[in-house]
Amino acid sequence: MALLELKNVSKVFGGLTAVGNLDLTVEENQIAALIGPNGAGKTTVFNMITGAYKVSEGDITFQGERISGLKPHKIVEKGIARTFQNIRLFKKATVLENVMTGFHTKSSGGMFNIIYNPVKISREEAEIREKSIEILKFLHLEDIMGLEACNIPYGTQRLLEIGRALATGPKLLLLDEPAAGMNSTEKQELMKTIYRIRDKYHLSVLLVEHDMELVMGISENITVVNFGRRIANGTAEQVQTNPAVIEAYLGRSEE
Amino acid sequence: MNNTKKTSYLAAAAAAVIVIAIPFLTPNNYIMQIINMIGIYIILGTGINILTGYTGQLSLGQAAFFGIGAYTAALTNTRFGFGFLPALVCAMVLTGLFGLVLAVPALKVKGSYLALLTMGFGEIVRIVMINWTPVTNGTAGVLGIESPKLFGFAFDTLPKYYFLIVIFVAAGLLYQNRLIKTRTGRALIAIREDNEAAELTGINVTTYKIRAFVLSAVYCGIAGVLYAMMIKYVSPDTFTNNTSSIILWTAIVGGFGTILGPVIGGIVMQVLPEALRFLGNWRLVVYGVILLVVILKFPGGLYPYIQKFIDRFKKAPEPGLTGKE
Repeated sequence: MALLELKNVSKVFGGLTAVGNLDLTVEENQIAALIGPNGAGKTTVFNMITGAYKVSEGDITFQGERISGLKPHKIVEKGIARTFQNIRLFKKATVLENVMTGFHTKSSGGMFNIIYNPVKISREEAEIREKSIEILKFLHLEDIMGLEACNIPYGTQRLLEIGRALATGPKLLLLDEPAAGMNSTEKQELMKTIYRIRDKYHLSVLLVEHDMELVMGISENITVVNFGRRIANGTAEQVQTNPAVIEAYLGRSEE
Repeated sequence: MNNTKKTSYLAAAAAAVIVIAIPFLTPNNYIMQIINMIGIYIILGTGINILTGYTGQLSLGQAAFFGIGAYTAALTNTRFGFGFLPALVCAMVLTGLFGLVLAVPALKVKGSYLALLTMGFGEIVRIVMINWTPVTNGTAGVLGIESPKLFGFAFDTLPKYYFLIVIFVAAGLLYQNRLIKTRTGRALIAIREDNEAAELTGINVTTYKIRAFVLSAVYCGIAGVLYAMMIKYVSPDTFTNNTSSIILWTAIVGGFGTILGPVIGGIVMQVLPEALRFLGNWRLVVYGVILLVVILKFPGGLYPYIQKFIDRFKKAPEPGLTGKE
């Protein structure tokens, strides 16, 4: 059984079909990618998976359970976390606090139990802190954990977003253009990091990415969309030689 | 680390000594009442700090909750003879419910519209206080509220009352500190920083915003009870838009989103107008100018600047744990 399965999913804005009859699957422990030209509907797909957009038609199932229609925070609880194309950290919170916030669904501190059960909450807080530092160490961010998130470099902010997402304990990590603005060396680093994350946390990754070097280098399964429809699916080689894909990216010769 | 801990324990001990000594060093009831009002405004400031400072939901209607708390105490005491604790519980429950009522429409708007909505709520409550005469006694207000008694001890003079207020200020600040530094606080800050990112980090933004509204209302309710039982009289003139502004300013001047900001703000906002009395009619003009200068020169409030000033005398912090740690 696939970890994530989109069956015949459509999203219609007014009269415009942003995504039409899309099928997409992500297997367990797989690194998959969703690619397509600008405006193809990739981010719309992400927004439907995370519950930010309601699905107009079709079903999304995760670990065999229907998740379309659930609220975004419930979907996070089920085990799907994401990062954003335009980094969205909690800027005035520290690096450590950003990751600690990610443990929200896995902890129990509330308005009342901090009064009547302080010992338990203190223990829980210490645990969250320890686990957050562990994630920061894994991403080599432990040296800057006291800094405010807005004061760290751009590339590091991307990494921190991944850290915050990991803190929610996901089974599926959605990365929205993780390589945007990175140079070739940084991209190589990112690829390694994605492999390390998959192996350590035993999760699947679904990327939306324009950078073909990264996508072709890392993805085990690639889905290509254009005008909201799937035009190809397969391994990097299969996709690269698919005439429909070449047409979508390069256009068709008139002769 | 050990040294800084020692210093902070020393600072806490010194603060406790000063707090206990205050009523014994205060020359008259006029000054004692100002000091007690500082305490009440610290509680009000803490309430709005949770809602606006930490959660980012601007409220211009806090005086309404302050008023509901005060009237609840006044009416339950004068009509049904409720003592301090039962009146306090009633006020907390009622203001909490009103916080919930306000939160429902408030969830649908943000920014300036939220400011307008909360301001409108404040006005509605004030108008009800004036016009619901059979219950609130209209513009004449409610007289004859009794001094609180707790476990046989009567807080019947201003210096005694001071200690009652201190208990609630301390409890309010400690609760805020604990709340902000645990899961709920992180959720509130996340909502302030980025609503959508918070939701996609697993935070139920709707319920946490409601919690912030309810908590902030309950803080105001507690302050209202303390106010009513100290002044022994409540009337609609106390709970105006002007009072809402002063509550907002208390948190702004002290420093929004800082644990001790409301303390600094409470002191400044209560002491300043009294200290400027010698200016006669120019008093409020100068008061306004000073406040404007404060927010221009100290954006983010006074507390962060005071903190920086104190930090200079402390040892250099551990690397990697600078900033908020």
